Amino acid sequence: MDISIITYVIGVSLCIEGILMVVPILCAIAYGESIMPFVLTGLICFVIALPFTRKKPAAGALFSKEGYVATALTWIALAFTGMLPFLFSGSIQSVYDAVFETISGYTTTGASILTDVEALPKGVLMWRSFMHWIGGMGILVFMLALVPFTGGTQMNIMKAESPGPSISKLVPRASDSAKILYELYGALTVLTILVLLVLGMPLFDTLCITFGAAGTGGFSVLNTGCSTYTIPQQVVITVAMIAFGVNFNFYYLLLVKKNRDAFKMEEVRWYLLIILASILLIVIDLFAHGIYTSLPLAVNDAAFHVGSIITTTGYATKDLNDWPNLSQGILILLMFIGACAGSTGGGLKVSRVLLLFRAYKRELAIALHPNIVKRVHMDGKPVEESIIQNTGSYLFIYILIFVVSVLIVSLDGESWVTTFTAVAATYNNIGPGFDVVGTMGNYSSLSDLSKVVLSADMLIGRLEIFPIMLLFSKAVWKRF
Amino acid sequence: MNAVIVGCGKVGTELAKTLVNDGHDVTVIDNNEKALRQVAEEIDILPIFGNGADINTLKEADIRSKDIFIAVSPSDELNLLSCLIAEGAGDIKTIARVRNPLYSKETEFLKKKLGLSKIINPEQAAALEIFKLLQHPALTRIDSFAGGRVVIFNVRINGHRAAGKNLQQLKAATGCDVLVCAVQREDEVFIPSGDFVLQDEDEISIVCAMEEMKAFFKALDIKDRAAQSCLITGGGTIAHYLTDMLCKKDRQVRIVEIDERKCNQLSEVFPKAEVIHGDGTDKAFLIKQGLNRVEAFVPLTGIDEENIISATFAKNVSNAKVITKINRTDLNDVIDELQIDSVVFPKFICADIIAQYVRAQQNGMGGNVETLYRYLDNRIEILEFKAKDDHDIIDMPLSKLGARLKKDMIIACIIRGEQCIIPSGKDMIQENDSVIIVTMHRGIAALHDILA
Repeated sequence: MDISIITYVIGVSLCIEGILMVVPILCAIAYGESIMPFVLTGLICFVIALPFTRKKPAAGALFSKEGYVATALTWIALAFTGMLPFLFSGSIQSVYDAVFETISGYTTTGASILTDVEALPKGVLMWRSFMHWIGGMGILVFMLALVPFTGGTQMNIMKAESPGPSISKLVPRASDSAKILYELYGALTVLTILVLLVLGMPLFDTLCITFGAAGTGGFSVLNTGCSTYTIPQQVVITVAMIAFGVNFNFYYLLLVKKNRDAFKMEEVRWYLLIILASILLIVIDLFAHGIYTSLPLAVNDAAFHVGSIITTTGYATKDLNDWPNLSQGILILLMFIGACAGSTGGGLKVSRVLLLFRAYKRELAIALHPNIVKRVHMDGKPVEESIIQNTGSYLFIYILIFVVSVLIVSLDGESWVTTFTAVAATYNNIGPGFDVVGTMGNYSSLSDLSKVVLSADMLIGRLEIFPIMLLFSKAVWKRF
Repeated sequence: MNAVIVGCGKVGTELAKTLVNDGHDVTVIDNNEKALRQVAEEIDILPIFGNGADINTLKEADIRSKDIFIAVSPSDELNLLSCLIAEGAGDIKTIARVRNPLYSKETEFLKKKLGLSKIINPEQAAALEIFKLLQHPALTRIDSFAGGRVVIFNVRINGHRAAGKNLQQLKAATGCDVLVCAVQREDEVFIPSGDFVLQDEDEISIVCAMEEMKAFFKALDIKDRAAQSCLITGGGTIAHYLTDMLCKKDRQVRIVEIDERKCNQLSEVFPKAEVIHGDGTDKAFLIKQGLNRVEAFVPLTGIDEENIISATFAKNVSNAKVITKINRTDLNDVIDELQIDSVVFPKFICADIIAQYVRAQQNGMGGNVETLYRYLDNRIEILEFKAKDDHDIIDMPLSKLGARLKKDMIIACIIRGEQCIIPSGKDMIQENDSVIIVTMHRGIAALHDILA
């Protein structure tokens, strides 16, 4: 394996992280807080990055293996440098907690160990939310958009970092594709910020909430979550969350005026259909149990939480522990389905679920007609067999890691609901689960071991398992 | 520019690599998913799975927003058809590869009828390249500019008098107006200055007027008489074109081909050539066919390894000029070390021709490349430009201009009407001159690009 290209990628990412410290620094200056935690963090990033970035490695060394390893190591490096502001500012004392909070930020999970969010300096809160925004589209995709790489192997980074069973470029050049993704991402973010400002949300809340919604993260800046915001503001947040859970290819197709192709995307159609059906069922369930009497309020809350969970954002306006079983069950199911591939959301992804379902239907057909030849289709085109195989293996290892994590976390002796949803909510990058780790609770009471396991789950879930698992494969570290 | 390539075989891949390195956006269409994925993993292109003649596939490749369409799939017919359909779908320049000798006489007709911008025939181009080398056996490569008035050629210094001299001494010793524009020494390539000392085994590229070449060879005592007899193994398409050219010059041609049917066909078309039915890789058989007495040996079988082995064998048993055809493009470093005279890579030739065309098409963006060759493992580019409205460059003595040029870049020759000037410091480029530039930079598309 070519180590030099991997250290180079890590070095450049750390440099970018150092530069991005400008955002919390500006915020800290605005609120008259100390900027030292961020300045120090930035300097440390540069110092670590310096020896790595001095020499640009020869072109073309970034093969599939290097792409995966570089991505996994970069994310781990970011987790350990991104936590420094929490420690330097004294906001979080324990290193376990700081790592958990940082990984939760970068992986756009939004699970928190903080009991009193409002007590934190504004600059730290801004950094916490801004991590969502960077982690949403991915720092390496950001790097591809900025740093010119020679050779054609940049796609291996994009493949390792972007979620979904198969990643395709929008335009011939990987760097141009990355640029377009960030332009769309930035434009939608700015649009959300403007709308929320017009609706009267304070600037600080607007920025943090938008970063969280855009990256489908879910850190809020108030102890009450999003419940203090007005109904119109909540509606805007709902729409924003759902919009960022859509495959970004959809927006690109709209941008180049291929509306018909855009609306033909089966994944997006199913995604919206699942959302509508879930809202409908939950509203009926809520009414049946007499929890709501006003239809608009029930629809608003149902839509907000369905949007929040399926896009794996994790914002909340209500304590969902009060909701009836069916509604909770639907939300837990949505946790696993997740958002679209090629979006900023997590989970299994709608396209994988669709593929698996169609592969299953094909198995039925084969059982009926053993000699049948049948390809699985998606968007009217046959899907490569290797992708279907990959998706099947993905599901297996996904479940296996889930089960092992649940077993380890169960050592804490919390209720099964807590244990199960804590893993589900971190593994799928959502944030809040139910019971102790519910929408109005947090993860502070869990043991350090559980926090480590859940931190690992967040990282594994965000990078879609293979990059992290490859780090443990002996073959990767062999010279030959 | 935005280019679409149909077919990601060896030529398609090489072409995609060249165009991407030149800074173009490339979309590749192929109906082999595995090959497509492999290419996309190596080169920064957009892969589209499908048939190049299928309008839906072309739409998916967004054909309307593209500038140039190049069909290099294995099938001539598919290439022509996809170009036709691509043109119908949008305003686009089309290039088709057509290599069947049967169609070669109809090239102009097809081009006109189908509205193609260019038809390329890599096999014919390769045959021409081989033919030129048979005309000048002392060289390892030769190309011409300005309708043949100026040539660039490669020669390996092999114990003759150039070794040990620096370039100024060489000029004084030969009394010829020639310019050594590039030197390859083992793995390194230089653009030399006047005090660069040549060594034995260096491969040097020289630019000069056509008539100077003979005088130069005479001064250095290099024998360069066209090969009168030629032994070819493998009777494929290139052999077909080459035999045609050689027979027209009344050279003696003997072709060894293993397939009797092909032998018959060749013999039908070329009554003057001797067609031998036999195994061209059999060493004893080759000796029987006069390998040790022939003036030139050209292995053209479809298997690279066989060609290389026969070439090495021929070098050992005869003094013949050996020109080897190699299909694979990734072997050139290894082959350099074997020292088997000249090697011809049809795939590189094809990619060069198209790259030249694409750069010339950048006209709208100020490009005006007339000719482009790539030498010494493609590390050196030799370009011909027409000087027009380049006010920073025209009418300025080169001694002044020199300081503003990019690094590793020289103005090798200025062609003014019938005159060919190897320039010195006081010469200047005038409007409508043709200028030959030698450079290690990639993607120079216009004369003003030479300035730093």
